Amino acid sequence: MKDTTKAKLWIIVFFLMLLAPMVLLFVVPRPPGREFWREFAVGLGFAGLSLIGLQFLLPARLPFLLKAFRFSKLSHFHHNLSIIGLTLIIAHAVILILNNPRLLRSLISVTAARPTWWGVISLLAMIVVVGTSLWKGEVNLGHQPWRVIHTFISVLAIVLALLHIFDVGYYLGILAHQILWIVLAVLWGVGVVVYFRRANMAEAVDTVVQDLAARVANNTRQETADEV
Amino acid sequence: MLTIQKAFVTFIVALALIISLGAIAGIARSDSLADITSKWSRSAHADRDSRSFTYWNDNEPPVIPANCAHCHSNYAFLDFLGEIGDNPGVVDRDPLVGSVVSCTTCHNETAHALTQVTFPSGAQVTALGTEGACLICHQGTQSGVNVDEAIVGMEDDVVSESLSFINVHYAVAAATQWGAEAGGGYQYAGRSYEGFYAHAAAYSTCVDCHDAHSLEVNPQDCSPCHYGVVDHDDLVKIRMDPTDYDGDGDTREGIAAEIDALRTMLFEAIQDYAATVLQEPIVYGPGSFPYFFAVDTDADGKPDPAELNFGNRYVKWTPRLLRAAYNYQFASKDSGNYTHNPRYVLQLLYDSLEDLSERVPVDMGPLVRP
Repeated sequence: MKDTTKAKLWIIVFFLMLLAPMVLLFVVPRPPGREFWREFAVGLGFAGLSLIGLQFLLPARLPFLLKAFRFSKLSHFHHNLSIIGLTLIIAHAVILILNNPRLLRSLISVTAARPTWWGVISLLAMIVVVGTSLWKGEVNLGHQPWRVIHTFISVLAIVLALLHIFDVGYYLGILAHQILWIVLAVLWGVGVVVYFRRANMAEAVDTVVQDLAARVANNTRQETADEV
Repeated sequence: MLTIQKAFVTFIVALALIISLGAIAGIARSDSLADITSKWSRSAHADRDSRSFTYWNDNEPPVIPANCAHCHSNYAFLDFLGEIGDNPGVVDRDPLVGSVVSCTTCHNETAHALTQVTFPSGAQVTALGTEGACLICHQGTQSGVNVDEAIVGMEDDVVSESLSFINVHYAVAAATQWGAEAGGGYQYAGRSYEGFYAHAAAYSTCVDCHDAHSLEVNPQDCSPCHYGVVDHDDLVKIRMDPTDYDGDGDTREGIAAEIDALRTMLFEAIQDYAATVLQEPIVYGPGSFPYFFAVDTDADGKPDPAELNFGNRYVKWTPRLLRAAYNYQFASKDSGNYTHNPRYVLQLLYDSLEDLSERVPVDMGPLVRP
């Protein structure tokens, strides 16, 4: 198979994975419909999460993807699609708030609004991930610490987002949706594992931890010296 | 490229923040006096044609009896509070008919300072906020204690002429919500009962969910946590507890349906008990005092309008029947009991059914007590 054909094929697979949650909304029986804007926002949330989740596969240096695309191309896609994914997730939240501002009042009740809180924290984590990538230079974040922060907070964001949709359970109460999201989550998980191995994440974590320990020790020494 | 990305992300995050802050400002905004007046004027509290405020119009002189007055007259409520008159907790003067629950009923210094309310059982609830005034009139007029006092020393299945139906009264939401702490229902000996139902933080008092002036519940307050709610019709479909209390195998119906099922079973058991044990069929007229009647000419188990009069009231009361009928009425006279304290109501219904099952067949097997 030609590389261009492979590339086209992977783009089709990518879009299938991206659109599967939305397609499923129309294919399988669903709970009673709610307000248009609420359902629209939910659709955006599913699309955003699906797109963000797929970002675990692009930088994972998966051999079959590297045969079809240059890594720089995948990296470029990763940056832009992540921002689009974050935009969709923010639009999901904003439309829900505009549709029902009392959503914010419910957050006072942490226990009752637990599923919403998962979503809020997940969104904040996503903003941190994108923000630390875009403003890495401005905040003086070294490459290795950035990689560690980027990877771990990304995983946290996705785990919380999955908790959010499963805990809300309005559509995820339906078996077909449950299966789809579990399959997608497993695929993303594979991406994370492969990335950890290929990008020497263990080594990166070790370096960052040692660096941190050295800085703390240095600071302590400096304070002691100042006191003397 | 990076600059464009930075500008774009800054823009969408800032926009989201502005919208969120705007939404917070919007929900924190107080109603104007015109809004409040408009809401109140459409509420049941302002309905001067309702039975609550016209029932005594034909009295001569047209006054409301002291024991009813504090909840059916603005002036008597103020008198009861101690805002006017000398004795808090007592209506000193029978008030004239013609007033409703208006601004000054709740907005006065004494009502604002009210932190403690006594229920008909004698139980006191404390540390109240602005909901204190609601509790005074939505606590019912009777309690399980009154039932116990009426049946003391009697055999469970022996008819007593001294017994008559004890009516908890209408709109007993506070008695439901405070559950065992208020003792509004008939609580069977040896059983434990649900206390105050706190629901959720910021949604635990009357005025957290009901607009204090329109009295309405806004379904948009419920929908952030109860995801299927769009309008008022959806409120009865809410269910957070997966237990199949009525044993019908349906754990997706609203908790209100579980309560309704047990309530229906209880009434069937009451009718069975009256017909077979007491040999005197009983029917129920939900809007006609004293609610339980003996005459059912066409024997269809339902009251005919002409039969719903005081002369046809049910008189063959036994302690067992009175306990069950009291709880049936308790579970019938708070239309929001499914959200005020569903577990307490289900417990009362279950225990009443179990009590009747000692004398008439009731399939308790599939039922679950909360």
